[in-house]
Amino acid sequence: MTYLEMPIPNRSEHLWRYTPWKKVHPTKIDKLPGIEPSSVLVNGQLSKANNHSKAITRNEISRTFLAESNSTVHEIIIDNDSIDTEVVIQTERELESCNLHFDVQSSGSVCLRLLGKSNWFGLSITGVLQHNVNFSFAIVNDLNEKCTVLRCEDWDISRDSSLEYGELSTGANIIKSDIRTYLKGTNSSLTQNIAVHCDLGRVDDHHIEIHHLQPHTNSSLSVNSACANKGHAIGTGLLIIEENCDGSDAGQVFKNLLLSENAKAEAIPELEVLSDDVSAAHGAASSSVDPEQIHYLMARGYSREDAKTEILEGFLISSFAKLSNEKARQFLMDELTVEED
Amino acid sequence: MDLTGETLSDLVLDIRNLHVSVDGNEIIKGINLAIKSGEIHAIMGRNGAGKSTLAHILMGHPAYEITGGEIYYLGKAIEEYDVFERARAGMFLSFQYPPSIPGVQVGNFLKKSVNNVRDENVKAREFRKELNSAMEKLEMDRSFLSRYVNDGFSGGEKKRLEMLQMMLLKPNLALLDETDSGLDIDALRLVAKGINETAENTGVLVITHYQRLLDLVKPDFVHAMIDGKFVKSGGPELAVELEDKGYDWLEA
Repeated sequence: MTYLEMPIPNRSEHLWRYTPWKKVHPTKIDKLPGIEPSSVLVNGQLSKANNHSKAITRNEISRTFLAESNSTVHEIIIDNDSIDTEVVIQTERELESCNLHFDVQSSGSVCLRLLGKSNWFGLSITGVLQHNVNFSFAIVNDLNEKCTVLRCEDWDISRDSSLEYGELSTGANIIKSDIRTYLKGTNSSLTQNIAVHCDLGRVDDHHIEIHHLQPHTNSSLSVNSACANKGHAIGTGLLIIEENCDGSDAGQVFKNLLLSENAKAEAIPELEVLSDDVSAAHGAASSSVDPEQIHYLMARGYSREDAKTEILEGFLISSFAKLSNEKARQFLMDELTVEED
Repeated sequence: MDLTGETLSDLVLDIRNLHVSVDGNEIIKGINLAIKSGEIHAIMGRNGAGKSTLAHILMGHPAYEITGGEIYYLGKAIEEYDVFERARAGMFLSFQYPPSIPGVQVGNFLKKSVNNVRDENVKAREFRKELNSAMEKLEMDRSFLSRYVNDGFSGGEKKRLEMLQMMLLKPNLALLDETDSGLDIDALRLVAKGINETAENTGVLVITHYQRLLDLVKPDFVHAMIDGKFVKSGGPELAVELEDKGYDWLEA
């Protein structure tokens, strides 16, 4: 089914409850506008795109829209010659998008930074982790403060492989992210740590699906969202453990820190567990800044504003500080420090 | 007036007829206290006597309200100054229950605190030297520095971190709110070492329930506090007497 044949998703659906399709479509929803492909730098070199044949649509409107509106894909292979890779997507024009595909053949890391001036940006990432690799992926969204972002990611993890995923989302104005991971091989695992900072009127909507499709698969999701002024963070999680996935272990935690009365945060983790012998847990908590923490820091000479900033930064750092890949962790920490400064 | 400027008195702390309320309830009911640099004063009293309230009001906790009297620090009235201004002027409170601050590493927190209080960017080499020396004295492992502030710390670790901060910040006035509570004898010995080292050039106010800390940290003056008032003051022998006899005899 093409985009124009697809029904507009209903807001009663879990995925579209908070940020409806019309809010993230770049023009009018009955149009498929021409969208310019963004420039992609891989380790400082301009990457050449191919016409895509691997676009994943899954009969889902965002993925179909992104695949049809931009027919190019940058294919990046992670092998023994490219263990640690830096990718920068630089947007320039009003409407831009980018399709990336990672073929992960050996252990390594990718640090991806989103930058630029576009007022609408679409990003589709697909990744396949081959057997027996440990891969770390870190993404920083540092897009222009007026930008609307539509982003989809689909990760397939094969047997005995692990994906360590870290994200710092501070840029753009309205962000709809739909990140899905499929644990397709036994003993595959996912550790996903996401830090979101919504200031002013920034809206950041993360929908995160994790599908356990084989026995003895593990996943851990941690989302820390800090909201100030009229910022609004949304986190919807869907954890699915299919039948015959015994021995699997999964956990999801959403934490929200509210820094002002007008800030809002939603956290809705959901579970669908169809196997018996599994461990699955989920939790969500929202709180404002603890005045005793502020008092303590002020008693050490921090001004009130500096104390709040320190607590905020700590809250965000604590979501990805335990990433085992030093490069990925440092990439995110450095970006956060610059952001808060 | 700048709280960090010229000293106007040889008294580090001068409290005159202080009255303090919390949510409309009077907790401190007229206290007078004068502390000089190099003196150690101890306040002893039962739970709820107002000891911690006194420490918090001196540091400027917003939940407490001064309803009467004055507090002078180095000759300057401090009521109008915010918490961080008092800290930068050389006042230090060792918290009874220091809160955890996830994501903030101890090493970075200490460096920022020192920079805040000294109002300068202390050179990394100089800071490291001071830090190593203080940590050695408190028998603290270097791994402390990469942990998050008080996050998952045992009671003893929290108190040792408070002492480490005090040694690095070199305050003019140290307020120690039950720094000895929950410590085993080895940890107590280390904490006392930190206090004694700092006390040489500092006015120290030790708030405690127990005389055992005062065996290791010799106070110049001891004040017994009941229901928001000092009911008896004396030398170190008063602490021994209170330990032996309790507080009932002071209420008669």
